[in-house]
Amino acid sequence: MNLYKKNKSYLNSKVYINAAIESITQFNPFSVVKNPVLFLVEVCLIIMIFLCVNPNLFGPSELTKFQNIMITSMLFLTILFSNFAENVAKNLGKVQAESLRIVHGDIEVKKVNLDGIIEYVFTSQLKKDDIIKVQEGDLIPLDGEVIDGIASIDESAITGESSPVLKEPGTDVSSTVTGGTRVLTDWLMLKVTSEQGETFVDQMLYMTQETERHKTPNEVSLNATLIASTITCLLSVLTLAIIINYLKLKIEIPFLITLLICLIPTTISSLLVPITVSGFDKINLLNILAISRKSIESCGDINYLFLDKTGTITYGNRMAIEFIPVGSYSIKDIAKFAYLSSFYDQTPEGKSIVSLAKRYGINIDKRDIKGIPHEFSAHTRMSGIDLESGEILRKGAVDAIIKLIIGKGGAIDPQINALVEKISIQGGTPLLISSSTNIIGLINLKDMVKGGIKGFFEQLKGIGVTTIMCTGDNSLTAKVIAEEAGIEKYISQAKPEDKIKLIKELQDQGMMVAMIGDGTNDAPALAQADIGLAMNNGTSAAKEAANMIDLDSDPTKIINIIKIGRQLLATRGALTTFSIINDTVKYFALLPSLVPIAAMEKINLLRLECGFPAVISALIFNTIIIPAMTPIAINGVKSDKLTPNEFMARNMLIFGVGAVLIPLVFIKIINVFIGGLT
Amino acid sequence: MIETTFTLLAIFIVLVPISYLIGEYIANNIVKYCPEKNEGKLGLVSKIEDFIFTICGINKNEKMNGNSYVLNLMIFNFIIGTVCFLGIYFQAHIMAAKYNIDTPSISQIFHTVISYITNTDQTHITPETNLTPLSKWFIIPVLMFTSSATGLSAAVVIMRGIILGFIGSFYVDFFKFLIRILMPLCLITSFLFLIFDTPNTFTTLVEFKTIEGEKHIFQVGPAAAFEAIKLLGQNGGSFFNTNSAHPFSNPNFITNFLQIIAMILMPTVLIYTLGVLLKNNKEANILLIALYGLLVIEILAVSYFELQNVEKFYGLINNAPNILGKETRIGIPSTSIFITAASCVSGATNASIESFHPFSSAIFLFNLIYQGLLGNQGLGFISTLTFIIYTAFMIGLMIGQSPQLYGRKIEKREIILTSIILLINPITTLIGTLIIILTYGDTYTSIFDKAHYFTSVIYEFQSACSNNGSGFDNLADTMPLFNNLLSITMFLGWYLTIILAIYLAESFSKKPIISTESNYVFKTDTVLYALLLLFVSITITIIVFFPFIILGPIIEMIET
Repeated sequence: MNLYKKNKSYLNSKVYINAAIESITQFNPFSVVKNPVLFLVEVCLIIMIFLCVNPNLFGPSELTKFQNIMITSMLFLTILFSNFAENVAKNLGKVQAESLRIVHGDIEVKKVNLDGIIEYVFTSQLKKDDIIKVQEGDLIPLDGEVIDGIASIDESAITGESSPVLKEPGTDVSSTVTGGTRVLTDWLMLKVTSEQGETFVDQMLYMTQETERHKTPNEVSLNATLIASTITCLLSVLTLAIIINYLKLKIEIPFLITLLICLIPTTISSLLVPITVSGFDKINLLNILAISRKSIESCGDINYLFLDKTGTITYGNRMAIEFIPVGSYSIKDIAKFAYLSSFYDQTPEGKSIVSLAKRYGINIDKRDIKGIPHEFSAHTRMSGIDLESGEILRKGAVDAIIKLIIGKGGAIDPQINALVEKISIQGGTPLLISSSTNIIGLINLKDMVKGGIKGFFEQLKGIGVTTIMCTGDNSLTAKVIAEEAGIEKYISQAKPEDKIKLIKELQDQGMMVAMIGDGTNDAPALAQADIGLAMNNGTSAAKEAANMIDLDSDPTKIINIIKIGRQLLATRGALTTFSIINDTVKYFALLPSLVPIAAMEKINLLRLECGFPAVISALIFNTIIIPAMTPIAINGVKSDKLTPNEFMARNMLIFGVGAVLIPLVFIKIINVFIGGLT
Repeated sequence: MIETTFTLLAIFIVLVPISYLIGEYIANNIVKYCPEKNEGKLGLVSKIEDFIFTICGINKNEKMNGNSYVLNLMIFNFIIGTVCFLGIYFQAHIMAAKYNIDTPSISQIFHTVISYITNTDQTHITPETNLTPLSKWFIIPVLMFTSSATGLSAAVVIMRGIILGFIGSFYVDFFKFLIRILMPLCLITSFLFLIFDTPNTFTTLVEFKTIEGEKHIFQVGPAAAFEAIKLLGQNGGSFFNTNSAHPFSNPNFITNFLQIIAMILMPTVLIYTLGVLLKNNKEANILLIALYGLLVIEILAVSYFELQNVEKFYGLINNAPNILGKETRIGIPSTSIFITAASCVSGATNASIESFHPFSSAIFLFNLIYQGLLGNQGLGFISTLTFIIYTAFMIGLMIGQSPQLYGRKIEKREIILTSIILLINPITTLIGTLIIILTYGDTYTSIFDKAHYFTSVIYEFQSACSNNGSGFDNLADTMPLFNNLLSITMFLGWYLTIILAIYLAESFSKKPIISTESNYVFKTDTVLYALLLLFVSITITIIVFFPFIILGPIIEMIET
């Protein structure tokens, strides 16, 4: 994902100006000390500033003040660029929320008291469960749930979608509003669900600011590596200095400082924070609220994904897909009987039967249906109509109808049993239609798998994640749905405790488990899973138990989350490798031209001009590589559908081999250029 | 070059099957730690073992934690070390009447004991004139066996910690290695040496007349037995001062061939043990291909440099290869293989390292700093593993997964411990080298001599820290300061590494195993992995190594 492109509307000069201003204030040694590598650069910078004033501070030196100033300014730029990279990344995230900042100040809102009187209060005075009214043009101050009214809302500040969204009470998705969005038309009554400082925007801002305080385990261990590498480099340069002194050769102090700066991993140290911050920004751009950064990084490790069948894999409503006549009846007859018996059935199944019958051309006006309707009830598990013509039409669950017919003294054709079984095996739910004591036909109800969902599971499989479908259905139905959706594993007749048990079992085997859920009964499983992704339209119990909330309630986004998690780590790894190899190569290129023995020319493979030109070329390269790599740090390395070994090989080719060639070529070019100048 | 290649091929043909068998045996009988199961298989050995365990009060099922493993290992080593120190200190008073022995100074004895108990065998004394037969026949071999079994135990602990998830008991590991591995292998090897003319006798002194007619007294003894543990235990300290260059130590081409195999046997075995434990022999083969690939390239380079005409350096006859300091009965190719392999694993030497081509000594120096290229007994394996940990860390980051090694996560604690293990070498050697150079280095005036002195001193310290033990022979190294600094370096290089490795093992053992069932896992039994491992390890080594090679061997090379 290209953060720059996606963020085009936010990317104005303001980001860069702010970043530049903040970069300068960050020269304060106390703010640099958290990054040991940059701290070392700053220490060197201070020594160099003294040397600028008096080049002979540590004994006679052949370097001019101007040459010292050039080296000093390069060190200065190194720190500046690194601060700048960090601030650009931070500001990209901040700007996104910037427009909502106004919410942070107290604004006046119309609070509706218990007796219905409107009172003007400030946002900070609002408590959870207070009722407020928002009107056309108002900013919605806090997250809330719509309890009355209907209005169109501009959510572009949060989602980036410019088309307005309709909000009304009583539905899942469209009855929650997010603080920071704006009412375009009409009015809404809202119940406040979060107090000030807890809204999505608040958390987003908070996470952006928190990036340094809580490092993820991977960051901590990478930092340890960088510190170890810095100590080695420091030792190496110190020894070099002493040995050169012992050999009675002379080397300028600024040259040693340059060597040290070129050797320590400045590139990756400067880019660590930008990489992490931009990973976080990408998650936010997806409209996902993550509770911690650690959870984003662990997303890359997920082996298993738990999904509820209903709502995610299927539409959730069983629909009539087929009428099966028995005996001498034609399909059209059955369609007509099904239509009549379901007309007063208000359940989604009943409605789907009516609409399927309509496709067979059955369309009887309500006034033409004469008889006593029997509505569907969970108790009888059937519906129907006693027609004036005397026919008693019933439609319902297999065992209910059979019981009814046997009760009336009828008999069941064995053919019916065979048909019922056939439908079950295909994953459908059979319903029987009876007229008086005869079964006249069957209806095949089926839960429809969402279009395109198969591709989603294939993609998941491609990135190494096994999906497990949880469903309350019997195993036959579950199997058919799983096959249709391309899922290998499923658990049928699952109770909430079964889910937790299975998640625990998998975790004990060392698996990382993600769970997507929205219901209150999913909450324990969401909490148990390593990654719990709750849908925004889910219950608040689910949202509280989860460590990520998807504001768009789109479960397929899990793929993007996993990819972002992996990309974040991979970018960090690739740039670390690049930085360290780059440094080693610079060292090779530079050292022979530093040791002042004529014969060293033999191993000066780059044929750099010895002394100052070589030093300043390496240093310039070392400095400009930081801004040059910043876009990669922010956009991330490409992570296509590759196996880990292919991915590794590609990254090594680009960032490993590249790190060997780039410094050699560019240092030589800069050296020739500088040689031409002097 | 052709001779070198064929000798190498012969070595691998013998080495690989033997190492695999021993590796499998170690994995099943020592690492897996289930004494009950294998009792029927090796009745006699188990009985001897049980007898020793009963006498010493060792519980063979005990599972120590990291602290108690470290504590027991240190106490045991301390006791052995102290006893041996006193033994050498009072050697003149115990059955030494007829030998004319100069008991060395305290700093010399201290250095010798530390050197042998840390498997370094940096011998600053002359075994023939400074040690009585009693010291040489009993005290030194005891130290050699102790250090060898200690190192192997540490290697086993880290394998257990990472793969099996527990630590084990030091005494059980120690005695099992002694009884099941080192003693039988040494017995077989010394018989082989004996067959191929290495002397072995209980006579202590031989008198003979030289060509000039002068009477000469010569100290002899169980050389074949001594050579066996010297090489198998990767100790490297010989019965004779000139080590394997001595005709009684290494009489001919065949013993030389056997000595090379004995020298690199245990590191190879440990890699196969790892493979058996991982149930993935392909991975062990890949690791060995990576390590031996590098070694073979080095050997070919060394024999190429040694076959060059080096008139420039040592003023030899035009168009002759560099035979200076080499034994003609062994020849340049076999000497090159022997010395290059020895620079990886032990201080055994069959030629004068000092008179090798500067580029060859640069390669030896590289091996000392690398440490994990086969490496010293047990410790080499630990060093290889630190590179493996770093490689796994890098792979994890680069493919976007939390880094893990054999199913256990690599986190802060593991990385810090690994980094400290890697930092021991540069820190101790650099400090030691600088002190010595600044104290004694002013006697040299020309830049060539200074560079050569620097190379010798850094080599000495690197060899001490990586517990190798080889050194440049003309270096004046018997000053108390030098001895003591080297003792400290050896002590840290050996025990600090072992202690950190045990804690590293403990830290890994407490982590839950992550499944590697998913298809998004990096496959480690591939050539790509071998390349990455070499890449990571060489990069790490080069950062430390580069300034030295520039200022030592390369200045020597160019400034003449």
